Amino acid sequence: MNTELKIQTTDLYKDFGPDVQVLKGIDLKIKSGDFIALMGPSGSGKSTLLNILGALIRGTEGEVEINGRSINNLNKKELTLIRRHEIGWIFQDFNLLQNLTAIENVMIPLHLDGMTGKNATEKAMKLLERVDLADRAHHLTDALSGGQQQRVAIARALANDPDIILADEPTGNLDSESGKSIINLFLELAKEGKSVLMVSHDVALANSAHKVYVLQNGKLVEEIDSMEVEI
Amino acid sequence: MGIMNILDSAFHSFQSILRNKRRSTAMIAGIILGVSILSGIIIYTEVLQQENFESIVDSAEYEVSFKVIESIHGESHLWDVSSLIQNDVRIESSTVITGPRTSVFDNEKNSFVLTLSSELEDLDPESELSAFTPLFVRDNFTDTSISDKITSSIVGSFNLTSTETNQTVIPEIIATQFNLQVGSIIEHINITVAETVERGPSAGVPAKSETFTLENVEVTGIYSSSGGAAGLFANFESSKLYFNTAILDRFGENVMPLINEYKYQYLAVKINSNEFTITDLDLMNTEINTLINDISQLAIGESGDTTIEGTNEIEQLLGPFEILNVLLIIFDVILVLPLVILCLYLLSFGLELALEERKREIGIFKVQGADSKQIFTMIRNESLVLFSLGATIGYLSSIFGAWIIGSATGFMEFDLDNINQFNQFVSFNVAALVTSVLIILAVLTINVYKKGREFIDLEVTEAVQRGSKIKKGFFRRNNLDIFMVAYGLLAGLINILIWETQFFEAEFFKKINFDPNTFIWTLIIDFLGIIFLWLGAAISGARIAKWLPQKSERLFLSLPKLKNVALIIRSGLKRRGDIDNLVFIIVLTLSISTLAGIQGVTDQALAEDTLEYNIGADYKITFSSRSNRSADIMQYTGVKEVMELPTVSASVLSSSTTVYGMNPDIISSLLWHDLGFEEVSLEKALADFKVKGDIPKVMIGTLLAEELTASIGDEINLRVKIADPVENVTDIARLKVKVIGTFNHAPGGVDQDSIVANYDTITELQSLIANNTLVYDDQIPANTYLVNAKNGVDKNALERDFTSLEGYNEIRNVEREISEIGQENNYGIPGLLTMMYLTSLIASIISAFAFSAIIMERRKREFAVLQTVGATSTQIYTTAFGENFLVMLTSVIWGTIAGLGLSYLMNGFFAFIGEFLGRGELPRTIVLEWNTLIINGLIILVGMLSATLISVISSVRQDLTEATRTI
Amino acid sequence: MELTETQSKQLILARNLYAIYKGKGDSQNVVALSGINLDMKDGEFISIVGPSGSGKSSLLRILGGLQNPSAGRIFYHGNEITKLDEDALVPFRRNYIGYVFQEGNLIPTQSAFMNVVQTLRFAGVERNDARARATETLDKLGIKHRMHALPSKLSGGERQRVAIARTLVMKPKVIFADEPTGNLDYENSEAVMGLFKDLHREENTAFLVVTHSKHTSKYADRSIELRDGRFVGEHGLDMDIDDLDLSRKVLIQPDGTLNLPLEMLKLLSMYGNLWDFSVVKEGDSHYIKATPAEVSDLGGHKHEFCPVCKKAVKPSDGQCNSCGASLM
Repeated sequence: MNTELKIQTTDLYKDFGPDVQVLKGIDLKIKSGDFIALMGPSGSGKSTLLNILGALIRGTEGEVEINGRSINNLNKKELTLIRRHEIGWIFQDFNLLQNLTAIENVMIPLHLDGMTGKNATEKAMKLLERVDLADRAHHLTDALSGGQQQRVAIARALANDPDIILADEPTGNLDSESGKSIINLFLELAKEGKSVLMVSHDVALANSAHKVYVLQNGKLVEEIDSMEVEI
Repeated sequence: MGIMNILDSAFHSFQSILRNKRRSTAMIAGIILGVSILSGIIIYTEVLQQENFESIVDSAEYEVSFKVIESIHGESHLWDVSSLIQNDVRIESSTVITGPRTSVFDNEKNSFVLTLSSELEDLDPESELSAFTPLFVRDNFTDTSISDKITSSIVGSFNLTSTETNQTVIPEIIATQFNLQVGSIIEHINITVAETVERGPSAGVPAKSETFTLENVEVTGIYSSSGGAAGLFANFESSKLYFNTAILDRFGENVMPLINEYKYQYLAVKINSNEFTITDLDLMNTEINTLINDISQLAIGESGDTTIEGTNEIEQLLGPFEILNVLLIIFDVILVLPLVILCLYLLSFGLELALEERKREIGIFKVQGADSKQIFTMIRNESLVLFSLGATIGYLSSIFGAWIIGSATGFMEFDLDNINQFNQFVSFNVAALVTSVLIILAVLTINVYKKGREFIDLEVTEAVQRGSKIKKGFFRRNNLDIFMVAYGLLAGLINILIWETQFFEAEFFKKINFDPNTFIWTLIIDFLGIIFLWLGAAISGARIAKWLPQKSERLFLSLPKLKNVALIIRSGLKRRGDIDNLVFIIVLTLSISTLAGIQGVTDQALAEDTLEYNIGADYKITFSSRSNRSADIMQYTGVKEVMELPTVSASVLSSSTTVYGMNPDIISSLLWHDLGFEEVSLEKALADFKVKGDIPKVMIGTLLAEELTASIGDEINLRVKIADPVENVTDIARLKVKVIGTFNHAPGGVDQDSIVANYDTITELQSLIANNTLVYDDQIPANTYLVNAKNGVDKNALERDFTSLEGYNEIRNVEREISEIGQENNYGIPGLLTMMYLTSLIASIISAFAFSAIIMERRKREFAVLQTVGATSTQIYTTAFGENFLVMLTSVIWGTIAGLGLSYLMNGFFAFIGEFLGRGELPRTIVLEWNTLIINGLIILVGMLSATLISVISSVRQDLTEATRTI
Repeated sequence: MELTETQSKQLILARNLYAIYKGKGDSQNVVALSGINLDMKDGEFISIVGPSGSGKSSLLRILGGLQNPSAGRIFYHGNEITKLDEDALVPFRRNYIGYVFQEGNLIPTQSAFMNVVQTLRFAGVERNDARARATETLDKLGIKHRMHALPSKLSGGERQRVAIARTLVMKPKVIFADEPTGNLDYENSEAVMGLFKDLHREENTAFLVVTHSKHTSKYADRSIELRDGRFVGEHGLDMDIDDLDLSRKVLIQPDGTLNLPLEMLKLLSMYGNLWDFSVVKEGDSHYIKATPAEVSDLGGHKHEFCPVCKKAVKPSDGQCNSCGASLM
């Protein structure tokens, strides 16, 4: 299996204004096939780190490399393309488009990238099969349960074959059963060689990941035994 | 403390508004536009009334006149009064006239009458025209405004200031007869002062008379027989010779006492219009009458009572002026009403948007423990602050708006050299401010109460959640809008048929007694049609704007640029429940701007056509006397052809008419309008015209034809009065002519009551009148000539050449006058239409912006997510464009159609007003400049799309972590 | 419903609460709460636990007067607040209830300071007094130095503290809090919970807190567990939020019903629709015996009744056709 470095940060700092330094020198290495959980008090670092890795915002100092390529000095368009091709996002609120069907939602990134028509439909269908929702392909989003919506979101995230999956509290709005099935999907994706970085509050679920990192006081701590984690 | 609280809340309101600029946009726009239009119209109307008054009254050389009812001592009596009133601010200038006045106001019937007559002895001792009246005029000391006024309407000048040399101003009849020009010297003029017996066997025989001779009198001015100085002092007998009063003194000490005894002096007074309340005519008349009585008191005689009696000369003139004012106000109101409705809707729509945005905030207030009264107070206070801001800006821009209306010389045309008028409009006009503020404030208050209540009563959870309920209005739910728009369109169609075709003149309609021009049908069709069409189209617009994009979605979304974002667009389209309001406003505004545009162009075209019709060729030159001028005119190389236009007055049956002579060879190159040659074409009629036959051939106006029940082929009798019949012979003569064509409007202002004949026929008629056989060598003499210039000639230079022709009186130049159309008194109609056009344009773009801004703000999160999954900025803009384009395009097209219908529906109304403004001669045909309409629609479409795209900018530039934020 | 004297003394008494949300388009109605009862005394600290989507937030909103229940009644010290109009709720909002949302919900165009001051001003507190009290409370929460910033300039945690300040400053009888420490780090969570505890102790303020957090839930005297809109059990001080099965006490409700955890219900569902349980002792063990409840009409057709609207429903219906409640 290809175990090259997918995400790497070197001494990453992030300031929000003069007195607020949220990230204080993060060194993070994520290889393909890694399923990493990131924990810690949210809103004060975790999400920020994820957002930087997802090329949504820039760090203040330090290197960030995605797939071996530094993203620090890329312009807006280049970052968009990175997001489109190399990263798949999964949100706590699913963020699917209303008034569209499951398969249409999955097709959106394909369309944005220029793949349309039959090719797009076929690929989208395959992705839905992957997440076990082929039978609901033509249901509108609000006819799907929370767990189903999240799975559609995962299918969407996989649309352009990204190497990296970033998930921000993916099970936050799901019941425990659906949550578990999502985690299982992540594990499968990791086995297939993708890197999955998941931010979560849920200790039990986080424990299913290969590694757990905790962000404390702006610094990253690797935890193996999560029972010691104070939340 | 009360004041602290008020200031505090005002401050907080202001702060809140500043921090929420976006949501207040539509609302404040509505307030500003509304106040601006309402005050603007009021300010403008007042300025207009002043201008109208000045133009009407200015045409009179004086407004008040005094006659002597009791002699005191000579002319100096009135002259003293004249100098006494000099300093009265109400008076601009005055002068004293000496001469016999027609006894219109004089009830006394003296058996003796004083005659002043003069003879141009040496010129024509036998002349029958020698009995013209000398009139003696003297200028005021300091002001020549009366004489300047007269000067401007005559050839030469009315400057009889010299008492050393003899000067006179003569009528053109004399000038023509004796070949006199300005500057000519008349060697002898005899002036006879005689008392004559008026009635009885020795009537007319002078009892005592004296004759005085003036030597070497210089002609300083010549006045024509119509208008000008003949109309001046109209109460005096016509055919006057004007001299300076001082001359009378030279005639000895007997003359003036005699004149005094017969009270032949009159004081003419010109008022200063600024000192009178021209907006209230009753009041003004009272003020004038007060002035008259004040002056009367300056000439108290021995009896202790006044010796002079004054007359308000313009009382008669003011009646129609008042009607005109009222009409103008009605017109203003009708035109401005839809604009005001538009602004009020914008205000209400804006308020709703603003409240919608505050829904969440209101919920939070409640959680904080606010009761509905407290929340309502906050909303109310903010609305009031917003209103104060808006009203102030609105009033200031109303001044600007009034100036636009007043300065427009044509539809969307401004003469940049003439901007001096701006000062007139800058003022603190209480009426305007109070009216506009009250109306807008009332509407705002009602809305705040009603809508505020709705939002305040929401349950907290409902308020705090995102998403809004879509309520279908009353009209939509009951499908009334379809009925309304169908009604309106049908009414519009009927109007198109009325104006463009003769559909309704068919027998069928006469049988069922349906005449769409009667009042009741006008009310039903036009009046209701306008309202239903306008509102119905706006309400039903939402249906169409949703239906069309849905139907054409497949096609539209398969366009290459849009394919990538097609799905996103589709999702967006399905969510747009609140499109209704936006479409409503777009259709409302676009229909008005289309209406304004079409009627503006139509108005302009009609004005030009009317000019062309009245002038008839490149130039229309009038001379002071009837003579042969063709050769003179032809001497200029730029002239292509000349046609004299002689006239003869005649009667047919009991209709009186004017017969115009025209040259058949030149007729077809004249400016014909609205030909009306139905059964027979102009070419055929002309061909016929030229053929000489037994019976002279004529073309008659359609109205005359109708009155005479004459049609082509019929023979009619032209009847003329013989000028000097021999005794015992009848004094009328007849000429039988044949009708070979009918016209609606012939060139040169020849109307539907007239007859066009060739020169032979005219000569025959003139011979009959003169009771003599007249033969003209080359051309028939005429007062008026129609002249066409060669191509490429400098028409204005040629015009200047013409003015130096002998006997020249007046010239009209089509090209120049069309370019100057804007400067004539157009009563601000083009300005009003321009105002309508601009306001509706502004309103539509602001609405689109406000609406999009808020919608896009709500979808910020969605756009953030899309960018997170890989959409570029361009793709986001494309999405916004794609979603809005179809809807806006549909609305624009629908609005234009509605505007078209409205133009036809309102055409009758505009025509009615036009009749009072000199646009009533030709029928008002709607001019559809398709290019302009399309461009108009495009401008609005582009404007709105730009506004939409601008409102997306902040979404595109936002911090993308918005996507990961939990709700 | 007549209240007994004891019942009238309860701070909050809620009976048979249902929350049903209309489904969009074709989708079914969602029953977020199904027959919830609550008895809360003055000064009790209760936490509401359960997985996401179990209706916790709905319950909190309904009890807090922010949302009308689809069915059921709520009493505060014997005064019914269900079906009251907004203005009638105002005294309760000012004197009884303090509400802290999950997402802060501050007025975005006012500074943190003004957010708190305004709450007091609405209640009629004089201007200077309001400003003083606001400053004091913001200081206690450690954000005095940031109090003039607009909410958009504050971090999530700071916003949360302002929201809490806004509530605390009114000294309510009960504070409803939806994940109050969700966005706070350890130190600040401690500070906030400490404040809550102080209020609890000193002013006898009651607390009803929805939380995932182990830390927060430790402060509760007792915890109510919801699953899929139903009350499934109660927990005491020994609750471990990560392993609720261990501490769950299944209670018989005041109306005689017993709510079972989902897993148990799923096990039992193969026996058809179940309405009746009896606890049967066999030997040393207690068993729960479930009996399907059926009523036959005159024609011999079998019917059951919807628990919400009491209308007849067919056994095989997954959902009541009258009110949309989903049927087990």
